[in-house]
Amino acid sequence: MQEKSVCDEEVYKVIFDKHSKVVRNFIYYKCGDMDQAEDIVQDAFIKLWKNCQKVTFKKARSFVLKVAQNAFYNETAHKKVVLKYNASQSFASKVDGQSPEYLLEEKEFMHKLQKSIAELPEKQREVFLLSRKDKKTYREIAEIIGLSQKAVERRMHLALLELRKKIGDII
Amino acid sequence: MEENKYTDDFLAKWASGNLSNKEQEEFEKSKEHEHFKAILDGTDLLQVSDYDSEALYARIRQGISREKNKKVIPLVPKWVYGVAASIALLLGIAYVFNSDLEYSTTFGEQMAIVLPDGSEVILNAKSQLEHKKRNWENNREISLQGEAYFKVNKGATFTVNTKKGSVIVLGTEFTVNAGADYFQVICYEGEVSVHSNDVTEIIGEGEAVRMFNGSFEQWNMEDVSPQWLQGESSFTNAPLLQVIKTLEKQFGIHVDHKKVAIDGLRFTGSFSHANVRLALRTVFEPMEIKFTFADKNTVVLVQE
Repeated sequence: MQEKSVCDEEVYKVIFDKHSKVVRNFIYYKCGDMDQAEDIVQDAFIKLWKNCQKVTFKKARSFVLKVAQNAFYNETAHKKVVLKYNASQSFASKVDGQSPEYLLEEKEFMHKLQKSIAELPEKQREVFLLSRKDKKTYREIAEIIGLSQKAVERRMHLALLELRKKIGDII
Repeated sequence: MEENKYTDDFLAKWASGNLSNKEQEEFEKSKEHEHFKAILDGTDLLQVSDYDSEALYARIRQGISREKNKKVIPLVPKWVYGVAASIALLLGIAYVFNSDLEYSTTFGEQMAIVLPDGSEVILNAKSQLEHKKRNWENNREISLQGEAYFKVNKGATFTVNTKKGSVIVLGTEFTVNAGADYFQVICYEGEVSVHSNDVTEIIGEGEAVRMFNGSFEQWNMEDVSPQWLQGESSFTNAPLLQVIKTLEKQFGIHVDHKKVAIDGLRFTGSFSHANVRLALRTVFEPMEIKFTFADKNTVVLVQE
């Protein structure tokens, strides 16, 4: 069967829709700057178009990821990855009838969690967030990062231990 | 928490719901489970900022079209180039066969030209020569402005046309020096016939003729080829104006002679093309004319 050509604009758009978000988040989890991440994604996809005759449909995602990652490593300025916290959605909305003390604790907890995630080593953070926020399986993450699934699982494990340690016994 | 209790991917398996039932049950009973559960639940509440994928895609499209514009996009199919080239070639051939060939030299420059029949021409400084390219063998006609040395092969009549007159030869060596107001022919070999103002003069080897004040002046000389081929300009009883013009052409200078009455002055001698000051001295010192450089390219003459 003829492989779909990346040079075909419809195919190109499909690739973009399918993969651009995870590429963006992946870079964001590394550098913590969304504008920078989107710029990198933009350049990576332009590069994909320029090389559309050389890159097969199947390889398109790993090509974009590689280009984006290289671009990221070439840019030195990194910020902290601080995810936003929307207080209106809270544990309280999940569990009814919580006391005001609990809500206060929750706020403190969330603050610590944000800080702890920001302080995670980059390698653990990208695995943790790709898993929890992008709902990627360990196998998919392994493909994105270019590691074995086993190594990804180990990083996930370490990330959770690290977060647990940083947050401490708040509950 | 006792970390050693877990394998190194235990929490990963737990987080993705891949523990065995037994492991899961056991872990849920522990206090640690609550802490880890809180971390996952808390993380669920965190937000990765929104994503306007359409806007990003639009930017990428823009970037791509900018890249595209850098490339040369063929506007016309390739065969058009072939047709265009053919037409250009045909026009070119027509042009070449009908066109005049033109050669010109600038200040201080000389140029050797071989004509289609093998005849040689050497153009002196600031001169221009033109001839038809087509049918040269039967129509050897040249127009000249300035000075040139001719070594003409035997063949059909060879004509040099100038503003002031023409020279007709049948194979010989000669120079023609023609400007707006002077006309001079020197013959080094063979015979040439010189026409100007309805007057015809035939001169032979070692003879020279110039048109001056409406009449021919004739003299003899011993050179076998023009001095300017050896980097010198030589004159025999030449009007000073002609010498000045030659100086101007060789050195690319302007000679201002308004303050000197040069009419009637004649110069016999030669100057080298190597050095402008030396040449000026050679010409003007014997005539008791002083020269000064007003600037790099302008010489002013003053009576001593």
